[in-house]
Amino acid sequence: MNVFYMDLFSIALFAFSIVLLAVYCFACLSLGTWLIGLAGGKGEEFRRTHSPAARVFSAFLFGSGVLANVWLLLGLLPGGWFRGPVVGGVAAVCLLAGWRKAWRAAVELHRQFHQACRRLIIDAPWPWKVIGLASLVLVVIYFLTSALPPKGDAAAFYMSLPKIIAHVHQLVLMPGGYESFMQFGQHGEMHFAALISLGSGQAATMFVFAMAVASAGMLLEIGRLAGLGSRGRWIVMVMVFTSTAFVCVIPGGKVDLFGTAMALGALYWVAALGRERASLCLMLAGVLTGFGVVAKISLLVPVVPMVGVLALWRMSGVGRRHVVASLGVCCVALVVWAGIACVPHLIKNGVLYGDPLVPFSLLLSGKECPLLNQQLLSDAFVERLRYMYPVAPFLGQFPGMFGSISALVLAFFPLALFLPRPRRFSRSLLVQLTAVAVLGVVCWAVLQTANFSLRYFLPPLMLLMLLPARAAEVVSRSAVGRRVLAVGVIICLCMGLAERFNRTKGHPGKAVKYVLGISTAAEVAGGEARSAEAINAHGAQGRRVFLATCYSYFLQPGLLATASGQEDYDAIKSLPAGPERWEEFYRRGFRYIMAGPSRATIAKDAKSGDFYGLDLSQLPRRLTVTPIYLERDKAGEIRYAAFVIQEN
Amino acid sequence: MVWMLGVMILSSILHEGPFVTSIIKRVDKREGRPVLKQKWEALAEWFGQQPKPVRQPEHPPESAELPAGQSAAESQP
Repeated sequence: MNVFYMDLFSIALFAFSIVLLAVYCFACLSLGTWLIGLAGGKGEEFRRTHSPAARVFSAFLFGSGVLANVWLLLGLLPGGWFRGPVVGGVAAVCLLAGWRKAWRAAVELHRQFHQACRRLIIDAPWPWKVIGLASLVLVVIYFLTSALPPKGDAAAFYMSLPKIIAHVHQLVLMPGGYESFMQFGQHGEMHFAALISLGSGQAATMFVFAMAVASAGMLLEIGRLAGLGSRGRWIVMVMVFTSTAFVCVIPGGKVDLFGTAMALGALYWVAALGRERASLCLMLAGVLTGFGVVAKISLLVPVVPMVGVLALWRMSGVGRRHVVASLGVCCVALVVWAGIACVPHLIKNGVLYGDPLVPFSLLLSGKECPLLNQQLLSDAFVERLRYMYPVAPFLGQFPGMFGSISALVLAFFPLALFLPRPRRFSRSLLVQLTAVAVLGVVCWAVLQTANFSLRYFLPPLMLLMLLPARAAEVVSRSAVGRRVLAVGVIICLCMGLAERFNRTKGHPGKAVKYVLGISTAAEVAGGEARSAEAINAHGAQGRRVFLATCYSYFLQPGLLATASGQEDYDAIKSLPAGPERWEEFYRRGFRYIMAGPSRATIAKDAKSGDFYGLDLSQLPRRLTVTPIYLERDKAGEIRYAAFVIQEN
Repeated sequence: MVWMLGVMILSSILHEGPFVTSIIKRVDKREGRPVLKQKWEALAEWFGQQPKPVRQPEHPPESAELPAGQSAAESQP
């Protein structure tokens, strides 16, 4: 009976999270619709020029970017204004701002999606029916996995910080040695904090799925502008959701897709130059670029050159007269709007660090900033990567890659030879987009040679999907001559989908069990969740926890907010190794240690070990350390542990 | 056509697509030694995968964890 109640509670929580997520997304959409309307993006002409999907996803991204900055400024206010009622009130105002137009656009989007499904699934030949249905099932699977509790980086920082913000009601430096991470933008984290304040951490992790849909939607709409038909756009969708670099960052609350979605939104509006008023396009492109770079700093390297070059390229074809003047205005407009979008982030850095330009000011002053220049690959790997860069995003297995781009992109690229030749290559939007995508990848390869994490530069990689998708569409629609290739396209799409179904990253089975309440968070999230729950259950409220692990999300919010920070680590490590360190540890109020393999080594008998500079064998006589949770691997080594420290 | 299918088959092999793992296991079992597995590892290494350590890794993969039920706290005050 108890299990039955637990199931019902979990299902009810999941349903509440979906409703909260839907309302919150609609608030973002409504705010964005209202703001874009104020900027001149309204009327029949605007509706005719842009499809419902383009309008809805642009407004959603614009609104979510503005709202993230509102939360940021609210979090910076002294006195703890970041509370559920205040957040709910602001969200309600946003919801009411442009709800009528937003609702109309959402209904039109629903109609557009329904028509696409009818064309591509119901009325299509059976092989395309299978592909269409399978890709939709894949999307549903990744929606479910977005409900999984945080893991990895998200359990370390992206979701832990929002939990603290929601608890202390203001933006504070994240403990656990992550203080310097907050020099970068907190776009995703502020949305997570708002949703946690409104009552659901699960809705917060699921908001990443909304960003994934917005990313895919903006890419499809760029494809529409570039001449892709409905089948070509569906092929792009299959490519997106069979790319592990994309789908691996959906579950558990990672923030990579916030920047990706914004950057793709910016590229859509640059691509729309010539169809829409230039001032509106440049405003949206500039602001979304600024939001994207703040949300994911790594996008500074590939996306800023892409947006700049594409805008100049498009503008040079739009204005026949005064080309130089219009290019200058274009550059200034982009820079000004992007700068305005970054202002709240600069204010935040000024308040928290006393330096708005940190971490770039560190570089200018000659100091090292390893976070800006991560060296994930050794020289040997860099050498190997150099000569296989063109195929590495699709077939590579390099350290730190965390997924690849669908091999369908590489497979369909040679089909571009069968595309009809454009009247002028330099005026073809598809050519321009592919060229700037290559430029983005080259910029990354040159400036971040030893870092091949595809999630850091997803927008150019995703933009590369358009040309092969268009080529595959043309080949698959050709009536004569290329029947063999058309069959080949279908076989490849089926193989790509089968590969993804075979190893669906994100563990959909776990997700289903979790949302149905069959598994608990501790069961699906890993050892860090179980060790944290042992401390939570020990009645540790009011005492401090020393983090000898990176992953602190599952601690109670009160414990998380007072956990060990960089200052504690520095103070303890500044003392000579020995009992003095433990005395300092105890003096600072620590009564628990949460340990994981990332920062602790523990002997098999749990009587000696090193916790981030604290040696268990050098404990002073007046203190006793007792394990309250130990989790071993098959070899008997302790991986996760929780200890309580008491005075004799 | 050859290119398209070649890329997709190579991707399936590298990313352990359908049947790849079971084919490797079945062939190696028949041979009595890990012939295909070694070839697969060599191919994956060529595409950038880090060579597998011979000894027990310092941070074993998630699959090496004990099930939650068996990893109960050893001493609960």
